[in-house]
Amino acid sequence: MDGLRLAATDIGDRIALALQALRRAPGVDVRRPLLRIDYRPEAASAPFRFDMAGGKLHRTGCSAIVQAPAQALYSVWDPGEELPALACAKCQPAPIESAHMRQDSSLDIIYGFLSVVDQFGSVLKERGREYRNSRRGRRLAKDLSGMFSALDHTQREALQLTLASLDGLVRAMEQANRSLAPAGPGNNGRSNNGRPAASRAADNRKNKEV
Amino acid sequence: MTPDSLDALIRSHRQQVERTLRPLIRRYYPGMLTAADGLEYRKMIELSSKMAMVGRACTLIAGFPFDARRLRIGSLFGACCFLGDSFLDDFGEAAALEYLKRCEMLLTKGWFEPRDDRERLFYVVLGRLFAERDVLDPTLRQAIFSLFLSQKEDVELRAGSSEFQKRPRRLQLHMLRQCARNRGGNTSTVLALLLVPNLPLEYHYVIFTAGSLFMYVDDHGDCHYDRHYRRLTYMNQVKRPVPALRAIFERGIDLIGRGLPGSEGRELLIAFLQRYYLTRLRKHRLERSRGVLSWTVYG
Repeated sequence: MDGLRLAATDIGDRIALALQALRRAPGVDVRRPLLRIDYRPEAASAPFRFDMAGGKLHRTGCSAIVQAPAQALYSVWDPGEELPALACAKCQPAPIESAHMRQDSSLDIIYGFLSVVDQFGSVLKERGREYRNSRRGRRLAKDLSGMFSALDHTQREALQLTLASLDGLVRAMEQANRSLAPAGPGNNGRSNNGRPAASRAADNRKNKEV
Repeated sequence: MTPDSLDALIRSHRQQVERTLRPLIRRYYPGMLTAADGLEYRKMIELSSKMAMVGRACTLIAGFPFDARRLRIGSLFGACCFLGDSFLDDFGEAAALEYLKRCEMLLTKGWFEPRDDRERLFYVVLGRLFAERDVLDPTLRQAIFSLFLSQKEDVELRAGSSEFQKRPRRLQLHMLRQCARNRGGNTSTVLALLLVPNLPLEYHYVIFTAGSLFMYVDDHGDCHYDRHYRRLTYMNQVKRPVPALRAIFERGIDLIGRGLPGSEGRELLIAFLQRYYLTRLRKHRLERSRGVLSWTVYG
């Protein structure tokens, strides 16, 4: 198990370093984010602020926040059950406000996929051409062709319809992505109204306590 | 917790931290193992052991076991902090400002092209750390970026710009004190979130305070070093640093005692902080007579 983990981390290191090397690849727009940790745009719209240094939870906009230093002030969407003990006496935050802040995560995943295809399209195309001409690529093409010829007429039509739908979906999403975010990199292609899908704390496998 | 059991725990964590980090360093930055007779390597292991100890306390406070994975996270976080701090502290002010720009690029765009072995090790450690948890969790993202902003403010303040010097001394001290608190507080917050992602807010407040105590104590320990390089910190500017630190420390320990339910984690955090405090007071005294290059382990 340890050997397997070591191999996986080794591959992870290589991928991480290779990603940075992409910065010099032709056609890659380095002005666009690869990964954005900075959370200030989304944090601005949270309903609460928690003062880490003072231990008080405020409503966003509470005048008592002025006393709190910005770097010790965290945006909070769902304060949990401890709210009464931590609540600012002045603004008296109420828990119900956080209930509608969740978003559909599957939509964000599609956006994420599209943004990668969009940003690294030239690199992917180049790799695709290389792969298509490789031995493995040619074998895959042969297998696919064999599989396709084995299908009957109805199955072929169903497959073509599925492929056309997927293609149409990708095009529609790409178009929507561009029209919704004409300025490009500002928010990584995400809508900005509230807690993004990345906040899926409760059901995230990596964050689950085991 | 007895002094002997604390010593034993520190030793055991140091060994385990070394088992995690040594192969990584051997692979990506082997020069560190031999440079200056391995002094920098040993310092990195010491800082990482400290993070593992604090991480263990935070994890136990939250009611979770400090397992092998969490030990690995604590070790990687220590290495990441050590290398990140070295970029800001060891290569001059111009290099520090350049690193700040590159770190900002890393956190806002994800791009960080490693230029040498040290940077490659830093980036690989960061990559492994990010792979352990959902780094896009909103609170963790905020903590990481707040830590960066605190570091940035520290680099700006410590240089004592003419604009800073024009401010009343009382305000200068207030700014330096707040900056140290935020640096330490955000460091411990990032560590706690990497170990226990859903830590309740009421614990965050106490852990932030504990982190700030580590920072004040550290700055006192580094007082002569910082003065040597003309860096301003609250602890080397305040008139009577030892009583000032004692007052801050006692208030903080009291808050930790009152703010957390009784647990093995709380006892460990308090015992380790007290040990750390005493060793840094000693370091401060030693460096006054020996010069800036001495350093003290804490167990």
